[in-house]
Amino acid sequence: MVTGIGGQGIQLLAKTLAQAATAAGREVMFSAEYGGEMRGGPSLANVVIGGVGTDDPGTGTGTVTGTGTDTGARLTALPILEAADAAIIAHHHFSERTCERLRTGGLALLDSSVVERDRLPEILDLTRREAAGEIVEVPAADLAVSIGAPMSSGLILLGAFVALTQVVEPELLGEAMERLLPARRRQHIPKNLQALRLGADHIAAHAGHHAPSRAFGVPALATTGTGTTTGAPA
Amino acid sequence: MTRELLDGSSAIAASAIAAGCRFFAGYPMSPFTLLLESMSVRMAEAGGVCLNAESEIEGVNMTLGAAATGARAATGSCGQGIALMQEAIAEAALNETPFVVFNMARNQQDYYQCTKGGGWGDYRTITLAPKDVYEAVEHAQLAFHLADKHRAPTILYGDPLIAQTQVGVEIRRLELGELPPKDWALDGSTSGTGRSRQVWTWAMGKVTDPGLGPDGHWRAIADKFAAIDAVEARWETLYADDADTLVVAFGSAALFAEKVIAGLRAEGHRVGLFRPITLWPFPGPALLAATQRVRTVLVLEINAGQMLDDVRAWTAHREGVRFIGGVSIHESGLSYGPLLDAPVIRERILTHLEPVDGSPSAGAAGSPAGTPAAAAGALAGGAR
Repeated sequence: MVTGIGGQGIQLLAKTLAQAATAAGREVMFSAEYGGEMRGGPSLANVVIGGVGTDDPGTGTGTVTGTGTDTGARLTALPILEAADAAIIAHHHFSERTCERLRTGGLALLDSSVVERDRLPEILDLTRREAAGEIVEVPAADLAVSIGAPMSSGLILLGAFVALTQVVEPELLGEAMERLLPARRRQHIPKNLQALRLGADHIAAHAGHHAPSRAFGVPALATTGTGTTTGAPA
Repeated sequence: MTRELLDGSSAIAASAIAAGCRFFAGYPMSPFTLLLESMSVRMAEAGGVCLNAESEIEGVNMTLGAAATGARAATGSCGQGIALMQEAIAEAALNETPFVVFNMARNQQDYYQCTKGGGWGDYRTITLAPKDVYEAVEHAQLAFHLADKHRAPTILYGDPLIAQTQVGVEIRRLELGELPPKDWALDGSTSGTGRSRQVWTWAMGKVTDPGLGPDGHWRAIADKFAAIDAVEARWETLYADDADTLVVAFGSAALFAEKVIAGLRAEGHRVGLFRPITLWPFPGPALLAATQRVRTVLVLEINAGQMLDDVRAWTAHREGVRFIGGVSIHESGLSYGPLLDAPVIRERILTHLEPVDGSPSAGAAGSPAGTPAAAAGALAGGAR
């Protein structure tokens, strides 16, 4: 689950991940909720990647089933997630549901230059999760300003997230981002690519400060090309 | 298999065009607007026609006109926009002009107007209710097939989650079977012969070539819909064979219920799901059969109780029917409210379930009859 406010690039970050995972051959569901406000209102997005993470039919992120119909495999994920293995929290506002539904043992990636820790919902149980190594902080908004691309903080968070979870090949993120940008935004491509790398580099530089995420096991894709993928947690 | 990540609106548009749809006319109204926008781009690429009409009434009548020439034509709207289209849908049912109406509804409060109809006369409207984008892609083509098969307008009942959620899909034309030739189409081929074809609800024909007239024609139309009722119902059951409690839900509510029920089964509860796939024909006889040994029927729909009437009419033990749905609207008015959420639905179902005793039940998770994979294929398998 990705949560923030309008203007932080939440939707672009989530759609980029969804497109990249699809390009990698995975079954993906992307869903979003946001209001009419262009700035400051809630912006929430969910990305479910089949075969990755907890595979629990009762509360799982998603189970891929092959139905044998023309349309092949289907991801049985709900557009409004009951629980998630990871959260990207770009702002403390409107983060209640995300904090409530992050699984125990799940990864919480915070934009530390924006998120006020003492204003996060108590249900997140920040202290316990931090002690368990589940919290990772990246000063994404500050880093974005430092490279002269203040709008790119979402992509810095995405680069960091993928470095932490290795849920897709990083190269696919840049390709997906370029495909998603409308014509009037294409001048931002170079800075956006730089932002993706910056997030990844930040994680690499601070590798000693957090444990790798235990929640994600990324199984190999089936190579038989049947259109059905199955996965088990690592 | 290469997949494209598409939102439901784009996937439905692409699927309709893959099915041969070459005319689309509509008026914007969220969440239908995404479908209209997608059609405006894709239809041009396919060499078809997409018109932004001045109103829903204009849009559906344009579609009726295009369909009368034999083209696969469609329109769409939602909620109050569908209400505006009722007269034209009824006319098309009575004058036997097939087209598809994509009702990308805001919630589940459109059930009555789709299935009972608000137009005039003895007609019904085949209504398909997909539970997710994957099924909506199939139904987009099935809707055209059924419309052409029976020479009647059909409705696809979508919603904001289907319209806006993105999943990986591969769009290609589905082979759904033989169809009769459109020898009734107004294609100009009988011009000058004195035997022009007519699209006329009253079916009176000409003095020199009389038709059945209103009495004969409207009786024939009523008989036609009775015949459709007997063969086109579709439904799906999950974990239902040994269920004490059966949840009945359609569309997105069924998608959420399915997930919740799988979890409850894993905890030992003997609860199942009955999902109408066609809202009309309502799969009444199938529901009657499924409820023979069921104690409680829980109706989950996001409205004040519309499908509830049909469930009450057909459930084997009517006194066991309980309504666990309700009106629940997002603050914007354009989508679902807090009721359409797995933990909330789980609590509503749980209050009607008996506590699980220590011994494992016969219907514990793992029963092959109840798995989603076993129940899939209901697209074709549900018809009697």
